[in-house]
Amino acid sequence: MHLFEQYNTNSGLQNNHVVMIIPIDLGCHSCIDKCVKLIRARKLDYANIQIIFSCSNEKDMQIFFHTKDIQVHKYVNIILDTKNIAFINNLVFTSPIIYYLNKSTIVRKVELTPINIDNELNNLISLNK
Amino acid sequence: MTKYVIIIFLISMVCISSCTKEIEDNQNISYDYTLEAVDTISIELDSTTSPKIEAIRYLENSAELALLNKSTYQIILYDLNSGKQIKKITFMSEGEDGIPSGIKGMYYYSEDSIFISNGYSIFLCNSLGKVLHKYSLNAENISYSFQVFFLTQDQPFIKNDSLICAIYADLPSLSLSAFRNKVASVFALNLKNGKGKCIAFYPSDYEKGLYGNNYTYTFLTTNPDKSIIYSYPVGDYIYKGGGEKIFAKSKYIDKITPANTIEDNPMGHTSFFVTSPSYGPIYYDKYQNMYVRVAEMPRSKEDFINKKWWKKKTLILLDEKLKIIGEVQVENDYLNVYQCFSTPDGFYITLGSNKDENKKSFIGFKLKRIVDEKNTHN
Repeated sequence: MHLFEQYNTNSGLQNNHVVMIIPIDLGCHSCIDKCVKLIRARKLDYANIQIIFSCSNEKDMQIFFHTKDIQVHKYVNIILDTKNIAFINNLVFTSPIIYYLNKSTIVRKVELTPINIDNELNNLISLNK
Repeated sequence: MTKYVIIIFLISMVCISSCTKEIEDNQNISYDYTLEAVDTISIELDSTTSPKIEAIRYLENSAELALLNKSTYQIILYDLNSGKQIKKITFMSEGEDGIPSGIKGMYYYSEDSIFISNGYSIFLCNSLGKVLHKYSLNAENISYSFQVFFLTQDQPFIKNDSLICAIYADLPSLSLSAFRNKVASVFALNLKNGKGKCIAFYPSDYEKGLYGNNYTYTFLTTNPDKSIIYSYPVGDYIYKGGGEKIFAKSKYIDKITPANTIEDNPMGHTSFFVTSPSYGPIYYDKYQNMYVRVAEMPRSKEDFINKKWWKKKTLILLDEKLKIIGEVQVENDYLNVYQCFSTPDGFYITLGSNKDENKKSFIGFKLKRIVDEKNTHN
């Protein structure tokens, strides 16, 4: 997980238990919308969940958050990857993806699809219940 | 013995006829023309408009450019001379005039006939953003569902009372049996009665092996005769009307070999596409009376691993009779040949990457005869 150091963040990413990466320009729109709905409802606001939004330019990122009505600065666990670092390093492609970590090692990786997304997001929420 | 002679004769005939056909196909092609960059135009993008363009149309009557902003549900009209916005048409996602599930693309025919697609339906709208009619996509001669997108490279057009458009069938691209049973590729929607019929199907190339999702596209265009002209990512031919085949092969592509297996996930499909040659959109430039067909060269497997996925392109130039007259290598990797339009001033290709995300530029090209240049030197 050395890769996450490239995000130049102080969020203590390697200590997070879960990292969710959402590719906003390539990803399945209905899956992205379900993830965004949870984020906006503040159901993923936990220190052990890191959310990375990934795309290839800053303007598309701004338009995305404006359209989805998310004020990023109010969230402490969101990282904006406007240089597609996650894609370039094979961490994400066309689906949102969740990495479960244990001591900086990936122990489970789930690509979200229309079939599994409801269950997987419920699992994610229940981590902090 | 006689039997063997007959077999050898038949094999010889097959060889001769196939060689003859090949010679016929390749003869008389003289690459006398090229494209010369003559102009650059730019438009200003507002803070809500992505620099990634998906649907752009030149409006001949007003000399304006129409650009779709999917995130704001708007079509923005630009004055091409000044590059400034002159009008925004806003559509609704809900209510009586609602276009649900997101706008996929648009075809701006006139102020009162703007066609918007959300995938499975087409909405006829006016320049006030009002939905005048909704067409659900059904075809009387096929049983499966399909979508239309109306992206720039999908060039729908009106012929008589029908809207002619490329479609994307909801069938698995890795099913050879589906292609043997004919997969529809072009659709005619009668705008008066709402009835639809598929009028073209994928060619037999698609029955020979697997190509994957990235090869199941249909590129459509037309000409002043309103002929239906279409091509596919696989195959050396352009099709006209009811299935007339016209040779339009890139001199840089040998053949496109299908796979025996493709890993059925986005990475598997992309890997095969990036490392294989393919053909892209076909455009008709009415002002220069030429067709342009995009050809895409394969990247190496090493390039694919290193995320160098952008395929080098050439533009095959064809005259009004669809005869090849030139082939130009696209040297600038930032030219996005999936976003092109023609105006009286040239054939414009979108510059895919600008340092300024609030500006979009288009390079205009004119057909130029190479032999003229040679004669001048002599």
